[in-house]
Amino acid sequence: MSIRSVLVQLLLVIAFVGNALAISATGSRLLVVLDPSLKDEDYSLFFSDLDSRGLDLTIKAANDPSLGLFEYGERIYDHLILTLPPTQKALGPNLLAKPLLDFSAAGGNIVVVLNANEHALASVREFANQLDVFLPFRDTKLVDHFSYDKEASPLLHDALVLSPNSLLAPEIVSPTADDASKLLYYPGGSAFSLGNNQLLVPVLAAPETAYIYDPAEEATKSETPFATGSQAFLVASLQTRKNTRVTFVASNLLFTNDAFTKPDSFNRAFAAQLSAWTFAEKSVLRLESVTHRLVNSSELNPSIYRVKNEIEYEVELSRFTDGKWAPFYASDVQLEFTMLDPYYRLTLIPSSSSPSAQTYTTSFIAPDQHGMFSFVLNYKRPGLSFVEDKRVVTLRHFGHNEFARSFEIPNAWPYATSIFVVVAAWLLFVALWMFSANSESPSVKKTQ
Amino acid sequence: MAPKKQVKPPKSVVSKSGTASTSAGGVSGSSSPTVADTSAIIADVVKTYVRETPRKLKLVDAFMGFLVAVGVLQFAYCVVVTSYPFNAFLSGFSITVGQFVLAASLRVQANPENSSQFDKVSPERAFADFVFGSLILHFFAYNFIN
Repeated sequence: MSIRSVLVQLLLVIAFVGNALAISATGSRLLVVLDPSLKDEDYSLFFSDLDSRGLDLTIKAANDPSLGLFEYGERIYDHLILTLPPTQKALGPNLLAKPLLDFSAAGGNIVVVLNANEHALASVREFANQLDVFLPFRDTKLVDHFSYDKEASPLLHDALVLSPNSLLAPEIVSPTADDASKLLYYPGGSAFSLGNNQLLVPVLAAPETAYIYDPAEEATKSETPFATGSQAFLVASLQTRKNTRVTFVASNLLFTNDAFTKPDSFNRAFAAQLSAWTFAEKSVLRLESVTHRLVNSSELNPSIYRVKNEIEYEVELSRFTDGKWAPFYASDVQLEFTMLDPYYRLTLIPSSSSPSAQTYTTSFIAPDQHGMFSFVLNYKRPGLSFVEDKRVVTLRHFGHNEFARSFEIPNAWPYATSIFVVVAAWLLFVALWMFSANSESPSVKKTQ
Repeated sequence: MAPKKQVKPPKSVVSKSGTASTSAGGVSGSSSPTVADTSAIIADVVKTYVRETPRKLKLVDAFMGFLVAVGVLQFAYCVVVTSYPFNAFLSGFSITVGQFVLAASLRVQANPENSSQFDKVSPERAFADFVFGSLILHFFAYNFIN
């Protein structure tokens, strides 16, 4: 028994330490599926950055027969970087659209890196379509004849230089003031377009004057380009309703050592921040606790309230940053008290904070409407993980002994007074009747 | 309501005794009664009422008049100001109505003119019934106001 308990304690300690040091909120097992045409050493800086952050890298070739995301139905990796081989056969059956979607639904995070020199495979195209991302036609290129990289592509104009200030999602990649003067190199490749999926967050769009064309067929002019200007996206992210994350990167050349080591290159920081967001290392929110109770009552989360009760609602939110949970502060967290429609929509006020969580509080008078109500917390902001909580309570009407007494209502005082006046007058009448002589009227005497 | 009832007994008294036969005959004779005739009738009615009605019945009449006044005041308050604690209004208004009905019953039973119809009900018995009924009424009104 003692050995067993010691072992259990040891395991608990290991689990606790492992948890405390975790770089990601969901896990650190990362699978990199590398297209055989890409050389490992070309991306050594990118991989060493990932490794030094504490991720547990497994690099496998796309044609590795042992490649799989699940084992016995269990997810065996937490994150996936997928680069694309030239043929569908080389990708193998375990990385088709269905396994990728299952992996995402099972809690895995995915970065899909399109190959600048190859077309996107049908399976990945299908996976992207499921998420409302439309990958470019084969052999197309993104060009910009106005703001191209003059050194890298003086003739083809397909290498672009972008400013970190043009990034669209500050929660995902936020350049510092020092980064503003740096450059984001896009050494070539295509771009994709996005549908209307509300879960999509564009990260990097092409410049206004860029467009996608087919160098083989549209060398002189492109009449119906696949996407133009800021409708062509180079990087876009998506957060599913289960808070797993998927990022599409239009070109693998963004992450090469060459791009990382160019003068004033922002690519390395960009790659680090983008992968950190996708692998749930930042911008992850967690609902620590939800409590509601009557004001001045100690009973937590009762299942029933009465109409016109004063109710206090409190939530604790925390955010995963730098490997630990810290308070999450925002001024736009709202509570809805709903029965089909919201009867109240109240902004929660940040009250107190502990080292690991921020408390938000509000109180309100329950509406004069009995039924089944819910406390709904629905905090969804682009880039942040979604916080959703619903607590159903009963709102009952007044009990028969809970109404105010008439004597407490000034309106009723005239009525109450009249009762007492009538009773007093009655007493007087009874007294006068009893003590008055019976034969006073002469006519009564006469009739009697 | 109350004045009508008050007018009836004196009329019968008048016709029986025949003291006011001249004025009554004048009214019935002329095709259109003048103001003077009307006021004469009223004055005669009042005079007869004051002279002929037993003191206890006058007391009941006064009490009934008071109840009508209280009831009308409450109804006006309900219409003009508020009916909000409606049970309070019902309670306050119905005690005046109920008390009025009980007082009217007492008046009918205790009137010596009607003694032939109530040969088993003496005025004392009528008064005891009235007190008993009133107490029950007060009890219910006091309970119902809250």
